[in-house]
Amino acid sequence: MKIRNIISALLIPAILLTGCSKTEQGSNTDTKQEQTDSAAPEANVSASDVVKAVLAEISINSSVEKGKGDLENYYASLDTATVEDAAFAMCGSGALPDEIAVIKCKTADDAKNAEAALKSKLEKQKELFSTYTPDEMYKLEGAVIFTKGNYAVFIALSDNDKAKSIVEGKLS
Amino acid sequence: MARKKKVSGLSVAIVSLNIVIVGIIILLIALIYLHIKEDTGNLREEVTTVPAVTEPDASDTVSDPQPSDTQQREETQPGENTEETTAETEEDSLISPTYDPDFFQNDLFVGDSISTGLYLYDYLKKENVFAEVGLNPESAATREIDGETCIQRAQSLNAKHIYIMLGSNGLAFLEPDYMASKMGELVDKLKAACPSAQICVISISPVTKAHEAEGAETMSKVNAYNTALEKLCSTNNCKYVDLCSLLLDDEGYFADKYAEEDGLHFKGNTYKLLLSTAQKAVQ
Repeated sequence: MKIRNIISALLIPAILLTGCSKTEQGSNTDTKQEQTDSAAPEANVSASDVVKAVLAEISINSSVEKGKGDLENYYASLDTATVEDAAFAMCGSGALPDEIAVIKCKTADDAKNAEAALKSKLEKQKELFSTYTPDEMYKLEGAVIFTKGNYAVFIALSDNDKAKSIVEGKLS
Repeated sequence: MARKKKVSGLSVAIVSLNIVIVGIIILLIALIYLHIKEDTGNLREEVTTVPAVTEPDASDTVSDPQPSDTQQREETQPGENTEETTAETEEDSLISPTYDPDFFQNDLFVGDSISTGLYLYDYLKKENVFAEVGLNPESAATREIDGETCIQRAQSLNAKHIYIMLGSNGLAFLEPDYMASKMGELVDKLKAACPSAQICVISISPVTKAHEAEGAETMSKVNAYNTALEKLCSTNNCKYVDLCSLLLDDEGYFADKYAEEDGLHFKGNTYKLLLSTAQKAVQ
């Protein structure tokens, strides 16, 4: 009987702890589910969130972030009337060509037109920076411009492939 | 009967033991939670301290523009101690200068990549800044930005004051006197196009010691060019604005607190000093 009581004394806390442990596991599962959800399709993800997600991984020195209202000053050939949401970031001091832009258009066709405007911007940047900071040209030479649904994206950063992967993850 | 009592006594002991163990576990969880919460609180406090560095003093008589659709984020430079920077900034009267953004609404700044920061950081509207990467006194008169030259922009703005800060780009491959002569030509063209405008030539900024070590741009070239600009202004009826000397450290180089990592461009706060100096020059 004594042995049974000792076993009981040890088993009950063990069972209680297992219960706690199960609860924690359950919590972890919930977190993972949230993470999965955040990576799951986000039809209405904000452009700013996408840009911030990239900048969290790939920084721009002295970064400034701008929004839809600033588009016409920076992407001259873009038809801003077709834009629903936008965010873009670049080097505030003007020293570096680093730039990322995420533009959500009203339609996929509008996004294709925005893509053309972004390509035009890229060519202009290459022209300006080729003699100015040749060491930084790899960011522009390896720049990525693409559309995904209603989004048009411009990436000219230190790691364009990684940035593209992050953007695609947020938009898919 | 006696056996039953013994069993009952042991059960009470077991239950008590379990309550104590569970109590300890709850206490441990509570302590861990409080510890994590405290860490998060400290982190938030640090994050909210950083933007305060870039905000103008409450005592300032003027304020920075507050763009509605723009967010500005200045990153702490690598190796920069945030607390030290905050203290240094508060004590430095030059880094918290006063200027009135409205003062420049009919003015035009002509410059290179350094001047692009005036609108990139939202200190001024883009229409008040004619600036582009690589611009120098030789190329400025004919270069078109957004479909117009700086002369056309000055005319369309009916500019009251025109500030020119150009030359850092030519320093590596153009002679200071040659650049100053090209600046003279640009000033003449602007004066002819906008006879009522006051034209100010702002000295180019210094370079850091580290930047000078790279060889292309040196302080002796900066000083020679600025001296030539000052001479130009004294004979050409334009105002010379000495920004350069305000940006120097004790050794005569671009002070780290004002300079970007490349040793040539401006940190965000330095534009406040530029605008303050420009405003004072014409008042």
